[in-house]
Amino acid sequence: MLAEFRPNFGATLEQVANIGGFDHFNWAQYVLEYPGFLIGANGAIIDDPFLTLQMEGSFGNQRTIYRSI
Amino acid sequence: MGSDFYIEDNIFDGKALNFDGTPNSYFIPLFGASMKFMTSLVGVYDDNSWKTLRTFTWESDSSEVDLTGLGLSTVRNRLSENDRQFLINEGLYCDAIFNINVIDPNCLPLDIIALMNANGWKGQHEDVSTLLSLPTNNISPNPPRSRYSALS
Repeated sequence: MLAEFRPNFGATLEQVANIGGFDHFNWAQYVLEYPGFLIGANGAIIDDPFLTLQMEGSFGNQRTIYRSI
Repeated sequence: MGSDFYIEDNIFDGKALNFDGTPNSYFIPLFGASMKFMTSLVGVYDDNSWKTLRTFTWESDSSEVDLTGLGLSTVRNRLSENDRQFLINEGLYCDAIFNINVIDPNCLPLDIIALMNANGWKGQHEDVSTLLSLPTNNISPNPPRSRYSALS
């Protein structure tokens, strides 16, 4: 899945964030359903739903863990 | 396209923030199931709390995972195109993003809302349309698109 947020009128992300009172923008993703099970970094089975932003373990080759949120 | 886990690698010219998710599951070919996701563009405050601006759900039944560790052999890069097409036709292997829908996060099940609240969610932004004109039509699946459904 590819998605892009690009503010209109050539505005920068920082400019639009300031308008909204935000520090910055990010993507938050929840895994709602997952077949089988996942093992987190601590070795425990992860239940769904969960927020991938906070996930430390591996998840296939998913690349959505933007840690600097 | 960003290539790593850090948000800085997914910002381009300060004017675009990309999302790039390519999940796989080796359970997919075993169970014929799919993975379901909810992804939100969020505005993050200084204290790391955040509000949702746009939220969409999507599914993937990609199984592009090396199964050799399990003694199985349905690894995508090992398959000829004919074999891959055969598996797709048999419903055993698809590799697709589908069922994309823009949703109102306030209408989510209570357990998900509770989890979001625990993660710092401060609710849906009150009036996104006056703040931003978000290009929701820029949300696009990875190919193949045969099962892609248009945004609602």
